[in-house]
Amino acid sequence: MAARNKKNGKAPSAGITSRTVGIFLVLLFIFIFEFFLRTWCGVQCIRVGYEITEATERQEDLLDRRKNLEIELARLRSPNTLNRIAEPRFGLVTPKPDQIVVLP
Amino acid sequence: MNWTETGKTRIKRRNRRILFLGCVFTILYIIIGVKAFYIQIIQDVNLSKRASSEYKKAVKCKGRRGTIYDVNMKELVISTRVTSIGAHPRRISHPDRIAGELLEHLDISRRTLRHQLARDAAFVWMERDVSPMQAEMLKKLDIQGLAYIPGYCRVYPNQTLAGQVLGFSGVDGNGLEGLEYYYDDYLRGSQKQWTIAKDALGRIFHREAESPFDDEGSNLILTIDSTIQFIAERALEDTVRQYQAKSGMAVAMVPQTGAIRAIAYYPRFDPNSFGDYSKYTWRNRAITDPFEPGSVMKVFTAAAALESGVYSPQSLIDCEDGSYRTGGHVIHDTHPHGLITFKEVVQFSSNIGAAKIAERVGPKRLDHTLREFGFGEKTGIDCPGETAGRLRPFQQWRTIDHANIAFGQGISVSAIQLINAVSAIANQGVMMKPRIVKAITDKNGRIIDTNEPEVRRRAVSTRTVDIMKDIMFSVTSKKGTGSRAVPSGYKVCGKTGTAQKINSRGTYENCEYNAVFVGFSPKESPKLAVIVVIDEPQKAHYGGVVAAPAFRKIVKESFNYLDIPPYQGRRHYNVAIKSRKKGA
Repeated sequence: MAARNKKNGKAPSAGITSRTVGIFLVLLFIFIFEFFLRTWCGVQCIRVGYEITEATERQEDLLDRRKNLEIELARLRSPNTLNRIAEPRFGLVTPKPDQIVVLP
Repeated sequence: MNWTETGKTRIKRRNRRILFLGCVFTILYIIIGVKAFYIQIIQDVNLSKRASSEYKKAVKCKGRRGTIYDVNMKELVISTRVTSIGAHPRRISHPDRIAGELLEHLDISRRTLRHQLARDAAFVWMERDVSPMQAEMLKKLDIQGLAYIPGYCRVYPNQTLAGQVLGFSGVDGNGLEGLEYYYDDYLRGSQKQWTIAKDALGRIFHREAESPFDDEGSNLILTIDSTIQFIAERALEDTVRQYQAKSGMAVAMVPQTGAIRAIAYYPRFDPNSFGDYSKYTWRNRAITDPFEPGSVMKVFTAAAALESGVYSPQSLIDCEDGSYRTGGHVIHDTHPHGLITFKEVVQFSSNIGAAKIAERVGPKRLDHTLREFGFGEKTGIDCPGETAGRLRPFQQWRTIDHANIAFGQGISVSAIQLINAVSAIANQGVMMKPRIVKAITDKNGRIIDTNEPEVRRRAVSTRTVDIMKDIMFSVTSKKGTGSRAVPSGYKVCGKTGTAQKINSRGTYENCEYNAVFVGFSPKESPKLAVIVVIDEPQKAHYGGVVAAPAFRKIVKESFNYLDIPPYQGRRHYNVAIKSRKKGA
């Protein structure tokens, strides 16, 4: 284009200048948009990171709580605990052989 | 003209200035470019590291230790998350004030707290394994210089149940005793490294594991049944207390598979607080400690005689009216006997009869049969510290040794060896390898290894087994020494034993005994073989008096739990179904 202008011996026209400026502005907009987009992505990434950390900690807490409940259940189901309740409170005893009836 | 020259000069000057500025900016841009190249390309790795070290941190944590279940998948050992509290004393400015604040949250005296916080050390432990609630309370105090280190703690929800079998692990999560020690490689969780990124406020916004592998340890499924274990422990405790004994142990085993259902020991210990108990109570003595079995060995002497074909159950043996000299020593019977049958030698537990049988069988044959029953060698049970007992080669036996071994002196065995040998008789002469772990699973419950029943060898022929069962059944008859071992409604085959204990000088103590009963039931299809050993009972010392009732209690309650009905002979029940016809 510059060569053609030189050939014509005319100064660069205002239309070409505004087109160049337009392209420049579009590029500038794209760069700025990309900049904001990247920043937004970074912020989102960190926000999701916090959420993941929080969810992981919550999951670990719940798993721990489940483990503790399992321990509690195992303690309550232990033969010693059951025996302590069965014998003195309900008077349960091992049946004598003549108390057992085997159905044919 | 002047104006034109002046204008040209001005334009030239301006152009020069522009050129100068252009050069300056070019140089500046080049400098910036070079610096950017240096930072971004050459120093890239170093600077990235420096930056990440500011907000990224590598955290190592040990994986959760595996769970131990009983045969019915009831938890016997579980790991739970805890926090250990540490402190950096150099960062603590007022130890006295901080000690006062910590006092109500930690189980430590004010003096110890002050001493720990005032120490000239980079780091000190304050209290290990505090509950998550305690740790939260401490964090709320916001004390600078305290450190909260996460970890895991082993919990034994059944407390003392099977303590000696399970063992325990230390504060660093390594198994130190029992199955915790033996299966440490499986149970131990691997160390996992995390990289965490923190913001300026110390909040974690990114967490990444260095390796994708599981950090949790494998789980163990035992052959132990917690209910039978409890029954055995309770029976043992009652017996030890009743006869004011020093200690006692009992083992219950399934003869057909070698699965151990219970290994009980009294006095017990609680692995949750193992430090509070004497080291003497930690050991699984049914596996680790040998003892002289006494008259129980007559079963195996009789089996050797039957295998040799020298004797039949009706063969007559002269028991010399209670006194017999052999190898320069005199052997006595508790109750004198004259001419009795081979079967009655075992039934009445005659030492002289057993010695005479052994003499005729010969040392080589006796030694061979005893070794076939596994005496003098380890059973291979998956527990630490197993003893092989002591059975000297028959070439070293003197005449008196030969006679003594026939009735259980001069030989030492472990409880597991003895129950395994008797189980071989219950299992038609086939000896199984005893096992305590049934399977190993990963954290999701998928089986990664199984411990199947394993035949060791045939100890004796089925013919010998049939005769031995009859003989052992006669021991528990009303005339026999083990009549107190029989729960009503069940047939029991067994043998009593009363062995004098050897003191540190190598001689027998006159008033220190081991009372033993070993047997299996029901006679026709044995479901459980049980041994009870009571150490130094005071009120009585005969196996048939002290150990046999404990055996009866264990078998009776276990069979009730296992739904093995008692023998009731023929009973007839008339059952009528009422008609529901209209108008009926």
